[in-house]
Amino acid sequence: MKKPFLLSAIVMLVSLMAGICFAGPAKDYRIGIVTPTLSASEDEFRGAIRVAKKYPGMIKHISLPENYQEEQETAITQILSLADQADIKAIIIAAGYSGILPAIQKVKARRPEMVVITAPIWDDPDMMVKYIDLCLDTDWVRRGITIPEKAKKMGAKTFIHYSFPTHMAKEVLAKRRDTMKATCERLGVKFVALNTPDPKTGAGSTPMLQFLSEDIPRQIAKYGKDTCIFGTNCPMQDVIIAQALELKFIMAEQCCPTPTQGFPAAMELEITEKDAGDFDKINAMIAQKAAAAGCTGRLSTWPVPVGYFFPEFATEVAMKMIEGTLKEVSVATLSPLAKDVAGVDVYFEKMKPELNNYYLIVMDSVFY
Amino acid sequence: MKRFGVQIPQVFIIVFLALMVVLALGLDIPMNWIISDALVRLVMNGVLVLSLVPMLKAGIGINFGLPVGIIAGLLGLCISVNFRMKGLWGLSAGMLFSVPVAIVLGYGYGAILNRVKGKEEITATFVGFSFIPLMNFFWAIAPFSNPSMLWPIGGKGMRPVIGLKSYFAKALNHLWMVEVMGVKIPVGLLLFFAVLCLLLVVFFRTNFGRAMTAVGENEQFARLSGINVTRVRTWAIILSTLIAALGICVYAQSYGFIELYDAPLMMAFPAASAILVGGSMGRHTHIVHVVIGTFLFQTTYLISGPIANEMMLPEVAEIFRLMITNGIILYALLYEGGKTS
Amino acid sequence: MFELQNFTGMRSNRENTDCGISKNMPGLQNPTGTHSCRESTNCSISKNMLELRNISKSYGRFQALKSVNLTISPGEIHGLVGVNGSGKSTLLNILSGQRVIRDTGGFKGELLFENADRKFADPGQALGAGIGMVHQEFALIPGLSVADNICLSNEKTFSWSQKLFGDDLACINHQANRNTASAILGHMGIDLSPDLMAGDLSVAMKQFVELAREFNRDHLKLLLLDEPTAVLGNRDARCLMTAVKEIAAKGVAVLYVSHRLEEVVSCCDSMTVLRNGAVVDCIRPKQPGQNQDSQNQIKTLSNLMVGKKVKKTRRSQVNQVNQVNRVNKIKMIRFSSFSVEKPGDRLDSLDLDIFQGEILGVTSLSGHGRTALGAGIMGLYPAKGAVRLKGQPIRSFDPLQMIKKNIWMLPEDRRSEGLLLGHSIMENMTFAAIQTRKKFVRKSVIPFVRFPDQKKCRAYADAAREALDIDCRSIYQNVGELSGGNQQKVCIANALAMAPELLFVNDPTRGIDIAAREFILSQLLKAQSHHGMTLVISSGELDELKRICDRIAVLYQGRLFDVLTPDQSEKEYLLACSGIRPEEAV
Repeated sequence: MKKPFLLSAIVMLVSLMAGICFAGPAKDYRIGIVTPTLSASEDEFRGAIRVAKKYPGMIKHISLPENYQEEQETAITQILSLADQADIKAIIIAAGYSGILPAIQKVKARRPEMVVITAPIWDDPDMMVKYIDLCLDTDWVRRGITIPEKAKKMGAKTFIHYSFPTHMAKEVLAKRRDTMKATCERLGVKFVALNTPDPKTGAGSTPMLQFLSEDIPRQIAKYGKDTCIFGTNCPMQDVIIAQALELKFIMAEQCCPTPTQGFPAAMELEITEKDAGDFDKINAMIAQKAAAAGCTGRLSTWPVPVGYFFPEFATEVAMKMIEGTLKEVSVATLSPLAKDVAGVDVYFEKMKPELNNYYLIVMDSVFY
Repeated sequence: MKRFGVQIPQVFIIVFLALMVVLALGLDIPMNWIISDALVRLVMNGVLVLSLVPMLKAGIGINFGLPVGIIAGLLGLCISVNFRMKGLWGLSAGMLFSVPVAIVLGYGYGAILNRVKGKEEITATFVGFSFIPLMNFFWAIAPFSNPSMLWPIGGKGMRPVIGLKSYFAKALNHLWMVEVMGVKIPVGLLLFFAVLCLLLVVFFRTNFGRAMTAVGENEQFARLSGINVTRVRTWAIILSTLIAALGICVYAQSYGFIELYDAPLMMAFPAASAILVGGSMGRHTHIVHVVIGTFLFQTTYLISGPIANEMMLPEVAEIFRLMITNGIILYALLYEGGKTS
Repeated sequence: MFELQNFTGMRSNRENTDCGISKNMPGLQNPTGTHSCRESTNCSISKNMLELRNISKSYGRFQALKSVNLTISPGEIHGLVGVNGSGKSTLLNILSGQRVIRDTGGFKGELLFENADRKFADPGQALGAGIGMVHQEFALIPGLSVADNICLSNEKTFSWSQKLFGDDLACINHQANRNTASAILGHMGIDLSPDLMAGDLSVAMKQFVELAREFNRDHLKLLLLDEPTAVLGNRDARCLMTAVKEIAAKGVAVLYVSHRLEEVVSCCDSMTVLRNGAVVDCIRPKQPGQNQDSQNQIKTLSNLMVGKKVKKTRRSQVNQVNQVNRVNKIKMIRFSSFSVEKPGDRLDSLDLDIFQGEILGVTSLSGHGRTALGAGIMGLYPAKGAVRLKGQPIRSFDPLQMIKKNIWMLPEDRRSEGLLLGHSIMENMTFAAIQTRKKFVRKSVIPFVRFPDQKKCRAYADAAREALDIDCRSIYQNVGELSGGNQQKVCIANALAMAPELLFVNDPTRGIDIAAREFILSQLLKAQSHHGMTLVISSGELDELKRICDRIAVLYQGRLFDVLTPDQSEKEYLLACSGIRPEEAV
């Protein structure tokens, strides 16, 4: 009984020492990045890995439990464990979940100097800004204006909005739908809101997707192919884009605008290992496939996935904050940094005028 | 009709369906679309529902471990896509590849279920649930080489959703598609289902099929009659797993995508609901129950969506529909319980 | 008084209905002059514990009871007899308030219990009113001790805890319960420790514990006994009847349902005969239990039950010759120190030879091992010991092995082991033969796929139906719908299709009415004489075994006690069953 215990104690001690001796690279601190698992959200996960490659030895990447909703305690413990490590000076949480704020509150209580950047989490914004150094998120509501405008530019006469009750119960999503409706009216585009079976109740997303694949042809038959279809739920995008290739309607943006959502499955993109993560190449492939299907100019999205962009961008910001080169966050200080990372223009806007550290972004689009 | 156990739930759902059809006509929803889709849905879910039959007949209960069979089918499909096989041949190859996988998995699954006689349903549920994470791990490291199946970023591991458009999406759906008065009738698909049903009916008329029914009805009698009960039960489970594998092949080609990872997790439940709605009472399950149940259950789902959207009260319709379908299952389970006690 | 009136059930039924309406005109009763028991009871309504008026009950289209009238006064033991399916169980279900009655639409007519019109919605209500029931299948909790079972829901509690926590949560006084239980058991003349687990008891003991529980109820007014002696040997049965008589003497009314007419005649004060759901007659002997009368009464009762005369099966003299020839005959099977671990019915190191072509009876009291032999051979329970079949040793006990060696068994529990209740008569008759003998199987070109030959199956089933006189709509009818006797006939047809050389038969006449009983026995004899089978029949019915067997092995406490010949006296058998040598008895 005793021997294995002793042995493991020695092993632990040795490895700790080794860690202290060899883990110290150029900079003497580390940054913790928290993302969902690979299968729950690929972009954030890959984004974190990319940063880890960029700054070897400086990044501690942990992933949240696969079914976060059921295992929130585990998630909180994981985040707190980062705060327990003295050399970690910043925590970046790119999760897109709500209910993480309590963990951050505890972290801040224990380590007030810890830099915490969320990109994004979805808790109460007024509370978030009190504890979090910089809150980043996509500007979901403003996309309510940008998407219909883009669709109009692409030639849409009708705008269909697919969603379901649990999504429409979320304030942001409901607000965006209302904004879309208002924008469509302003632009003279017919706005149609349709409901699908709810994936959050009953039998998962399968019935919803099956409904979509049956309903879209009906709607296109009704409204014609100059129709822009927008779905609020990630799994919908595979079906919408696949149908768009067939029926030639407009897909202005997915719910999470990125070339890696929906397009790979619907277009059967064959991305080799070498090209993986090379968004210029992926965008070119999509454009080529779109042309082959005769849909040029009908599909559009943001050139880089927001989830992929956020971890890297947040890390850059965190480093500048720790090193003291970034004293104050503002549109002026963040924009150049973002352009460096993304390669396209990124527009920042305060979430509410009175909140100084909560910024929402919208990116430039790429048209295929 | 009495032989097939037409009971209050069936009457209820038929009335509900009839009501919705009337509503749909009133709201000018094009019925030809609905009918075409209903036929497709019948088969794409019907084969999965059919896979419950051997285990039900053998007295093992509802196969809540359906994901086991589904995974066998998914693996077969993935192999077929990996070899870039196209059209009907690709689909047939996928089915063929999944057969040995299903037999091996079914054998193991059967060995587990034979150890827990009397608690098969709950065990099966957990086998299904625990098999999924195991396979998630497998999918993430699976040594497939066709890049259209791999993660777009990173290029390793399988995508959660694999498009089949250039392989065999709708290969069976479009086989001998006939259009009559605006209604697209997928003759090939229906024939496939019919043949499968027929094969199963014929199977239960063979000596071995009869032995299986006997084991389900009275195990002790079967044992006394010189039947190796464990062997028969194992074969029933293998058969169920095998049909489930074929079922997901049909499903995937109709859907146009292969869904990996957590997608099979909840697939057993709509199938179980469908067969219960059809009037199955445990061992007293007939192929007719499968066809009627799947048709009623899926068509209700199919038709309620457009109606809800037309009537502008989507939330209410969603709740109402869930209440009805789940209420019917509850009734079916209650009624089944009342009959045996 | 006992002259047999040749009237039908329907007629008497109508008369009863008329009388029920014109209660105030007693002069109109009994136009046929039959001595109906209602005559005496009508004048004394107030004295009746239970009175049923025009009780009718139907399950769907099937009418189980048709205008049944019945009265029982306090202290009376009332016998209820009838063949299977005559409505006895339905009547008991109504009286004990079983939920199945209400679930299937309730019953019509009046149920007067202590002169109040009652309709019991569930067994709890009936129990509360003072109606106790002893079930055919045991309603004991196996994990509780005998004392706990007897005192269940009637426990003695410490009075202080009752005051403190109320009735439901009061602390149970185990010592007091034990004392109560042993007092009751002692009173019934049973030697049983109240500390044993109910699950470990033999069938007979379970029956007594069940009875003891009903006796223990403080306000028991009416006791329903559903075939209380079906699982008991003669001695135990007599013991039980004494206990029943004692409780009746205390003023409890008893309704006694049984197939064993001897018992009914010997212990009941009055008897009601049911046929096809209607009361055929109600007999009230002047001096119950008198010997010279009882044989006549039994005859009368059995005639009333079936509506026709019953001829008792007996082995013909020709067959008895076997007995003489036995010495020269080949040994069919030889058991040496053969033990079977059948729970509740163990068999312990049996040494026995069975000769080809003989009929061997195996008898014992319940729980002494008579059903274990066949079950052990077929591998249903763990068995050990050496068995040689025609000189060849049998190594593993497994149904398939035995079938290959031409051994077959008819289990005692037909419904749970012997039949596929949801399948047709034809399928049941041919099932085993198709599966293991490849009989009635069509030739097939595809390997591993074989189909039953429907034509041959049908031909066999039709022939068997004819030969065994099975009462059914068609051979496609579900076996579950048949009566016990007809089900047993189907089992026999299944066995005959297998054409075994050695056939074990367990309790062939259990729960079967007299007419079918005799027919089944005659069929077993025929199987032996026509097909040359060797039969091993285990049964508790000594009378039947004596009539058809060559030799009868008597087991006591799981061991072979003696092998007797059929012509030995009843007394010798009873002694042997109780484990007493004749010389000891003297």
